[in-house]
This record gives sequence, C-alpha cells and structure tokens, in this order.
Amino acid sequence: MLIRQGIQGRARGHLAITGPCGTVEHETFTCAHCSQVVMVPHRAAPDELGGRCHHCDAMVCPTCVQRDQGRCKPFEQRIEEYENRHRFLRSVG
Amino acid sequence: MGMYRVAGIQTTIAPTKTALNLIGGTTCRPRLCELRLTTTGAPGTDAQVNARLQRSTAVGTAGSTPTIQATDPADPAAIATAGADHSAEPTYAAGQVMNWFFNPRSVIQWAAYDPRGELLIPATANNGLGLQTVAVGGATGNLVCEFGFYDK
Repeated sequence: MLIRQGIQGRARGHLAITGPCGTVEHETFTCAHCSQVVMVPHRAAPDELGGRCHHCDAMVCPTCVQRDQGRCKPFEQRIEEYENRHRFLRSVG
Repeated sequence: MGMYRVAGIQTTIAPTKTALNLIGGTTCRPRLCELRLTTTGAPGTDAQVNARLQRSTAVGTAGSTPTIQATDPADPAAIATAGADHSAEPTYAAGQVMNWFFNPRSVIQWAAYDPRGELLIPATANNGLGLQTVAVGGATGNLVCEFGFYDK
C-alpha cells in the first residue's frame, strides 16, 4: 500500500500480460532520470524499486539511485542537452 | 496534439531483429504512451520470448514503412515516421527502456496513464524507439507490435 501511495500520480503506467495461464497485471513507473520503465512486482519491497528524487519529486529507478547519488538531472534536461548538441553539430556541418 | 497509432509486423520472428521503430522528427518530440505486442502462428514450445524496447540513434533499413493513423481523422498527418521488419538493424543506444519475457501465446499491453510516464523521443533526426527481439523461444510466425503515441 505504501508503494501504491508513493507512486500515485507519478509517471505511472499499467502492464498486462495475458497468456495461457491468465492475465498478470503490474503497475509500472517511468524513471524521471533515465526514462526506463520499471515494473512494480506485487508485494515488492520499496527499497528494491528505486527511490524518489527530492529535487524533481519523481520516482527514479534503482540504477539512477545508485548512479546519481542525490544529484538531479531530469530526463527532459538530458534530451534538451542531446538535441542542442545535435543542432550545434549540424550547424557547424 | 493528436494521438496516433502505428503497427508493425516482423515476418518470421528471429532474434535480434526489430519489429517496429518509431522515429521522431527535428520539429517534434513524440511521446509513446501505449504499446501492444504478441506473436502469431502456433508456438513450437512454451519457451519464453525475450523482447525489449530501446532508444535508436540511426534508423537502419526498414523492410516496410507502416502507415501512421491518427485516432482523430481531423488531425494532421504525424511528423513522426515508422519502420518495420528491418533488414539492417537500427543503431541502438546502450541500455533498454523496457524488457519483457513472455510466453509465445501471450499478449503484452503497456499504457502510461500519467503524462510523466510517457516515453519521450528527442526532436533529433533519426532518433526513435525500437522494439527488438532478443530471443524467440518457442515462437513461430510473426511478431506483431503496435504503438500509440502523441506527436507534438
């Protein structure tokens, strides 16, 4: 329940896998720093899911929790830097 | 901002092949918000299929260019483009956005129901999101994939 409250309204998604043994459904969230979609298994321990960035107030994946060490670089900022770099490279030929 | 859908088929499912690649343009950042994936054909065994969604930085050679349909016919044509059933694979960035293991008889559906859960494609030429098989397991026939996205 804590997990559900924690990711409520925060980059949530829904994954449904319908197979021969029925349908399995999972909540997902999208990491605010790298855009990876993280599946939230049933009864998962909160510390296995990653954490929340207190700067951008969004969920981040376990990899980004370890890599960023409290620093915040939202994915949109990464994309803007990437786009700017490519615009610059195109402008100089 | 309109919503669009595009479907791609990988004829004869094979490992390390891209079924569908959604490519952005320099003037828009498409936002992937829905994804559906399954295989057709009677599976040989129940061995799991492994597929993943990755960020592409070069488009490769697509075997077909599926038509992108607007969900509202009044919307303009999408700026984004798509390629399917690649003969030369797109170039992918390291890491993956999503990864699934599923029975060949399964259907996978993912949807973001919060705007921050949608997957952004940079407004840079030839950048996109591609769905590539890693291992085919017991699947035979085709891999069928459908994306739903906003184009803005």
